[in-house]
Amino acid sequence: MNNEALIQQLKMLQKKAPAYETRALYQETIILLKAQTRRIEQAEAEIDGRTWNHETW
Amino acid sequence: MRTLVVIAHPDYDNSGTQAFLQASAQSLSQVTWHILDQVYPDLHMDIIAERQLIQQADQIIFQFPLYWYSAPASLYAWLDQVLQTKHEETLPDFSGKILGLVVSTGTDQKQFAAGRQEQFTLSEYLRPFEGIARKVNLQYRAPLIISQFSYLSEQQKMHLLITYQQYLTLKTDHFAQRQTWLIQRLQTLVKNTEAESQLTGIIAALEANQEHLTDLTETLQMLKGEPYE
Repeated sequence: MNNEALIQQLKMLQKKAPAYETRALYQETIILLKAQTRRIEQAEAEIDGRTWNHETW
Repeated sequence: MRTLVVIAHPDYDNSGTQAFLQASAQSLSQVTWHILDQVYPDLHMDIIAERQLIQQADQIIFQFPLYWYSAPASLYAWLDQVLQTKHEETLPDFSGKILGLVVSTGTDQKQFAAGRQEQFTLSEYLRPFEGIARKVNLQYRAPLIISQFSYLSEQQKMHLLITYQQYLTLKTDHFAQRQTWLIQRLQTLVKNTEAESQLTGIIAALEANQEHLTDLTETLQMLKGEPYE
């Protein structure tokens, strides 16, 4: 399942959660998912850049 | 990790920030909530009891509103009386323990900078606490600053709730630790929710991302010729 679908699921869960603390946890999970995705993209881009750096071949 | 929260606030019961923080910490089992101004209205501390509280804790948090760029009087009374009596020649050694600060400010955090309204950073204003930590071998961690609590949006308050819980229960704010913490909290929810399968799927996705990120980090460290930690 892609991230966007997971985020939609989390938003639904957040709406239904009765406890404030649980809603906060779901909101933070969305933030974490986005941060993970950003970090994965950055790390992949850096690996790509370093692999193609001809000075280190 | 056992955390002792030492709170200095002369008007604790009327503080919205403190009420929010107390409610945020309520579900945490290894946190001791200690309001100096209520336990010692005369600021005369029970030194033995206070030292026992310190001994039982892995992390000590000083929590207070910023008063004249420092802490309210009760925290200074605590420091004066508890850390070293006039009959003791040596300072206590709290090696292995951590000192954290949770500081609320009525001024926007952005104003604490060179050339701005408050001129100096909060790291500079709070430096004496870093010095105290160093003197008694406490490991000083970056303070958690809560500025202008009453202006926070609902989303910002929810983010603060989690950030605060993590500050009280984790030793650092490293991404890897916060990631694991959140997954563990979600796992405790799984049993108590109707959306068990949905939540299980979300946790699996988070764990897969976490693993992928660890692999990528290892590859990067290898490419850079650095040892992986």
